[in-house]
Amino acid sequence: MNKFSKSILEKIKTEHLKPKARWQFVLKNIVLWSLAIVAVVAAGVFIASFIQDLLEAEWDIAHRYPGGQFHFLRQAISTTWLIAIAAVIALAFVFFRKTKRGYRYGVFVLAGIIFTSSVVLGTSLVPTKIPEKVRDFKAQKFGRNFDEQRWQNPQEGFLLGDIIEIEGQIFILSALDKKVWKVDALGSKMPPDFDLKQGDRVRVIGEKSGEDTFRADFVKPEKPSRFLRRDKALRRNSKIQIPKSK
Amino acid sequence: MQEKDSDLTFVKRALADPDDYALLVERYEAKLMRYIRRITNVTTPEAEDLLQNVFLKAYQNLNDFDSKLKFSSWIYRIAHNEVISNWRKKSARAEEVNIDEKDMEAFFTSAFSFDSAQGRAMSEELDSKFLSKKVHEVLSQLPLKYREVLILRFVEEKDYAEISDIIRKPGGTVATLISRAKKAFKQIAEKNYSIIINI
Repeated sequence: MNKFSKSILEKIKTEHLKPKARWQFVLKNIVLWSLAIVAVVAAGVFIASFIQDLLEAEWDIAHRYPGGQFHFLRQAISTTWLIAIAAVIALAFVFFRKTKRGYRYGVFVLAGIIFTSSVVLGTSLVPTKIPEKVRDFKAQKFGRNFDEQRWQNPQEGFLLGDIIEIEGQIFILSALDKKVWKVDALGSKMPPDFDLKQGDRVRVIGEKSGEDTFRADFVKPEKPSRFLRRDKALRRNSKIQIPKSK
Repeated sequence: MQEKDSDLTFVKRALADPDDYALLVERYEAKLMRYIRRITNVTTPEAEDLLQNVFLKAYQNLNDFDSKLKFSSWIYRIAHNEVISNWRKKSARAEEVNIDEKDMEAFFTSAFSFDSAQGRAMSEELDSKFLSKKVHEVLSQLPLKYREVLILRFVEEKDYAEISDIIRKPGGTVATLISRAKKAFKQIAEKNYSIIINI
């Protein structure tokens, strides 16, 4: 034993140094893998929510959207989801990189694997209720992606409000700005399984026909019915013809 | 392979009996000391302190040693981390490295290719301490990340996989780093010392 190794052994003994237990290293690696997987799952859920947002965006009225279709697209693409997706993918990358052999993967390879897994997972989650719950949570915290202002624009053919009186297909609607409108919904299209009822909050697409009268082409509930039912049913049953804006 | 096997045996023995850790210390003491001195400008006592820390950290993390890696890569990685953390504590000034003339010649001839006439001229010149000193100075002016990969590859003669395990970077990044390091070396050598090198 030479002088240097002797000094190392002495140091080990005087400072009571001991090798850390194997389970500590195993646990650390498991935690890193778990965090990375959780981040990928979160990215998948956010991607699914993003896709649902896009699918549920009212593309049928895009051409009537103030500011045009490009503005509509900008509204439909939620920056909150994009930031959330980028953040969790970055986290997943960092966690994977810190695992025992994570450093062996190149930046683009690892980022590609994480992104692809998240997209595949996200796409498969689209028809489930998971992203819907996340979207509801987001709506509660940050508000809905499409602002309500768009629906308080009778000049452009959009109305949002509560039905305060109804008689057949004609109802009185109190808009969000408290202005009262008489809406003629005779012959208008509605989602299947949706009946006009007093107290309902509805969105109306149509044409202003007088100072306080509105002719509806399409009436739908304020809160869209659930993703699958709504979209599939709408596509199957309703070919909406929206009058062109003047 | 034999050395890898016996390293693993030594690790197991050290875990069972701390006194047997001396076997690993003695096997890697000189190699790691040279490595630390080659990539840093620390004084001998400082290098000894760094080396001591390397062996103490290695001992404490002995259970983290992955038997699928070479033990040498694993302990070089600890030395690399120790050098980096020591370097961060000090200001990022140009460092004089400690490489002996023989190693310098090996580095220079294996890192760069010369045509036969130029090679003869270079090798004659390499005999002179003058060129050796110049190469020394060029290496000292390189950033640590470049200097380290050049030394690992051409002086320590580690392959890409081992360098990847030591510096914890993907193989592709190691190749890029080496290529950039050679270019940086060439640039400094040509600009400041009029040494013409083919890459």
